[in-house]
Amino acid sequence: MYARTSQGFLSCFSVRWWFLWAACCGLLWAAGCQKQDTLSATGAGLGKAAAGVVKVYTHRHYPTDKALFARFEKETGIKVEVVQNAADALIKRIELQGKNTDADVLITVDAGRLVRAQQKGLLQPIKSKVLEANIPSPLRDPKGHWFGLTRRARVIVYAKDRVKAADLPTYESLAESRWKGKILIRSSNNIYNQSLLASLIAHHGKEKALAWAKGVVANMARTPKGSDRGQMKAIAGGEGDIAVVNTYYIGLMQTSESEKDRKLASMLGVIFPNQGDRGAHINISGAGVVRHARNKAHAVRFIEYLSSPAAQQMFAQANHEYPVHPSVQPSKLVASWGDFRADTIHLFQLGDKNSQAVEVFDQAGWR
Amino acid sequence: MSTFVSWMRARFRRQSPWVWSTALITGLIALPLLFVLSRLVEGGTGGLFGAVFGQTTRGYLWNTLRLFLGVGVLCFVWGVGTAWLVTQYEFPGRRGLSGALILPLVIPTYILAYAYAGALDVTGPVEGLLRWWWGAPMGRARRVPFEIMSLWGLTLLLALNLYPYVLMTCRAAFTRQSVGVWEVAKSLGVGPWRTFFTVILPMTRPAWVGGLTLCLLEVVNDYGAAEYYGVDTFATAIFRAWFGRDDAPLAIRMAALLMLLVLVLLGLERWQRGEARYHEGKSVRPMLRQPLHGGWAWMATLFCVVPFFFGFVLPVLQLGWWTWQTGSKHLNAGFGRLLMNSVWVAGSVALCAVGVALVIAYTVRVFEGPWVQRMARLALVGYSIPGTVIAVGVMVVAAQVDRLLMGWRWTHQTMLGGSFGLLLAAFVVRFLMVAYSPIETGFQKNGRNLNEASRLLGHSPWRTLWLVELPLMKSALLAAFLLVFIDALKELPLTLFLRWGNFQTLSTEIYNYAKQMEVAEEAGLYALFLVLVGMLPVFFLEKLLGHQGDR
Repeated sequence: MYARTSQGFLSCFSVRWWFLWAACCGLLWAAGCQKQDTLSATGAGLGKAAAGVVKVYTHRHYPTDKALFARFEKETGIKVEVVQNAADALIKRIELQGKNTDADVLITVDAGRLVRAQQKGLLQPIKSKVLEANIPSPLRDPKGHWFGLTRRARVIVYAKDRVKAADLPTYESLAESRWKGKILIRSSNNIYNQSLLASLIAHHGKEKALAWAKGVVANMARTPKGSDRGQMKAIAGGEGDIAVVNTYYIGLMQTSESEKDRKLASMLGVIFPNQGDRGAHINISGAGVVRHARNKAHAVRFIEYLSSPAAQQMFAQANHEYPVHPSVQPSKLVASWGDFRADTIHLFQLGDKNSQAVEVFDQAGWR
Repeated sequence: MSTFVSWMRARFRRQSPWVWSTALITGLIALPLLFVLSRLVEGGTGGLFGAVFGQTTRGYLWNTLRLFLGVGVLCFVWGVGTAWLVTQYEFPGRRGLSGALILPLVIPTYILAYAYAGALDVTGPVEGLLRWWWGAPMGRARRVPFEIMSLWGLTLLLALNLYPYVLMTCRAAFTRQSVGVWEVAKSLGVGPWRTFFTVILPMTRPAWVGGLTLCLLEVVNDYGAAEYYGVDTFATAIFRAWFGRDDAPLAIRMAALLMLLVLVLLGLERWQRGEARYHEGKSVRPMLRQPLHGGWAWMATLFCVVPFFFGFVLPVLQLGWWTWQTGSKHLNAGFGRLLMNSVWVAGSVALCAVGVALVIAYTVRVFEGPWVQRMARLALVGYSIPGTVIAVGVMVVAAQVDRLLMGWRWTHQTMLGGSFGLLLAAFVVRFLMVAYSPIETGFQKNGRNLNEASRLLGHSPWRTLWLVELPLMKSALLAAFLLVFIDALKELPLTLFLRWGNFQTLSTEIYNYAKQMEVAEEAGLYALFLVLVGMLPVFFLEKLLGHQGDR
């Protein structure tokens, strides 16, 4: 009897169980330290070495960015660590990490999200002569919370054989009833559409913007779906005649691996709207220094580097975007779409009016 | 009385390691989920019902239910139908199809979505062929009558992708079906169709309902495909609320509602089993497959070929075409690194999940009791929750722990946040059920008698598990491992959110190309490789089951 109880007692604290649990904990702990291991492996141990790193949270995902970061590492000796994810997720992550965040720089592909990060108090103001000299003032926050690095315009593309460019001089003309069943544009979830509408709200006020949105919805060839490239393909598929897309997607289409895509792109014409008045709507891909950045000096230096003519040259060649530096020319392909006048509205407005834009989209029934 | 107390004490002590372990694991798993739920209570019930049953939410609910219905029916027809054919009949191509039918499962749903969107769009091969056939050049009105990027398209894709869950559970059940039942029915003059519907289906209900439940849970969890096709489901709505609108309380409430929906599903699945325990064949005399002849044989072949072709062959051809176009420039060291990362993550997740699932399942088996059962249910519920919601819950809990550790000056930087351990933990929360189901079925298959006999003969639960149960359920363990491996390989939102440092996997890279950069064709190589890596374990599984005469 005694033997049985003692066996039962022992099995409670059996060596096997302790081993098992110790092994599990050890595994988890080792795994938990993984991040620090990667840090130290890249030369960021304690003290001095930790200064040699800049941690970049970026939405951008282009091979050129990697090349650019590598060049920065080479020139400055500062190691660039990248966390690439959707900007919304990155912002959320920085927010949750609070003071303990490991992020130094946040890069997004639109002004709206930079402003959102700013309004959440996740970015800090930076004063930099270099940045002020390299980046025109509408493309950066007046207090230096964020800085534009590349520009892209949201333009109208049309089927050359079915539409005359002269009939579509402005964004406003998309709401004219003559285009009923012709317009292809993506969902209102899309931040580029939200920013476009935000600019219209800023220029005309909410009432007129709502009327415009309703007009466009009435003209839609189909319920909004798919990507910007999808809209262009739908023109080729005959579903509609006019689409609203970002400029670099036209570039991607024109340089596609697929011959059919290139042929399709050749059927499309590009209109920069509102050249007679305020100019075409533009947005930026930009960066800001995170408020609780551990490596602020490096972060500033990193952004300064990205705004330098040499880096801007690379940006311009890479992704069919427009450089922000006034002295750097866009790539040949981009230049072939022609010069255009850009809307000079301060980009802060795009973020500021974003929630109103979402509201207007909902009211207009823009899916 | 005192004898009772000492008996209780002895009993408690003997059980405690298993029960304690299960309790600890359940606690760890439940923490992030309870966090999500606690926010629901914290926000008050004031605007809750307004938010949940508001105009837009009703749309999400409606879409999700329509997906449930469509995918459920299609998965049932394809899953049960093909399983029945390949286990009971002999027809041309049966042997090959028996293995091949499982393959659609290895294609991640979002990749299937990208592939079909690519195959059927204006510049894709299908429309190109049709336009050439009809002599309609590009720019003219669309001639392909079916728009894949819609709710119906998504339903079809999800069903094509998920029916193997039903197929696998049913195939196992049908194979173990005693031939006696069939003979009795036949001797009573009942035809094969009627026997199937009135005898076989009810008898194997746990199998196909279990498979269907897995399918529907996957439907709820799909984010990549629904997002790409612009179908508003709860998953996309939660993403939009959490990230896009930055309305965390709304997102958490919707997640909670989704959890409720899923708990109802799981409850129904439990309830349909009722009190009855389904013990299958003690000494199974396997059924001899009846040969089909003529038209029937070819119809059977056709029935099995259709889901395989559209669920696997066509999308793989499309991926192959993309790889042909763009693959060469992606075939470099970076690709090898991505591949290693993916396999490493999926492998460690699968190992952990199987270990944890085994502990819980065995505790439930040996230490019956309402509390143990409830703990197990709680531990498994993570499967129903969209990856990102788990990720967020896990992130917040980790941040709290980090804050605590830093308060105690154990560490001066975030320990858990963004670590591999956290990713692993989130994956285990998410995929425990995938490992649990086959293991639970394996235990049930072993029957209760063996375990009880071994215990009566004086073996501890541990020894019984090691010496008696595990050797009998190797295939169940392997199945559990492989299912989790494949799922972890496919998983996208969790990895997207929780991956640390420069860590990219094949899945995040594919998402980046297809969704962020809108150049799905550039991801062809990655996608194809993901499919191929996912296929390897399936072949092992097939071989293993084949040795045991399951085919």
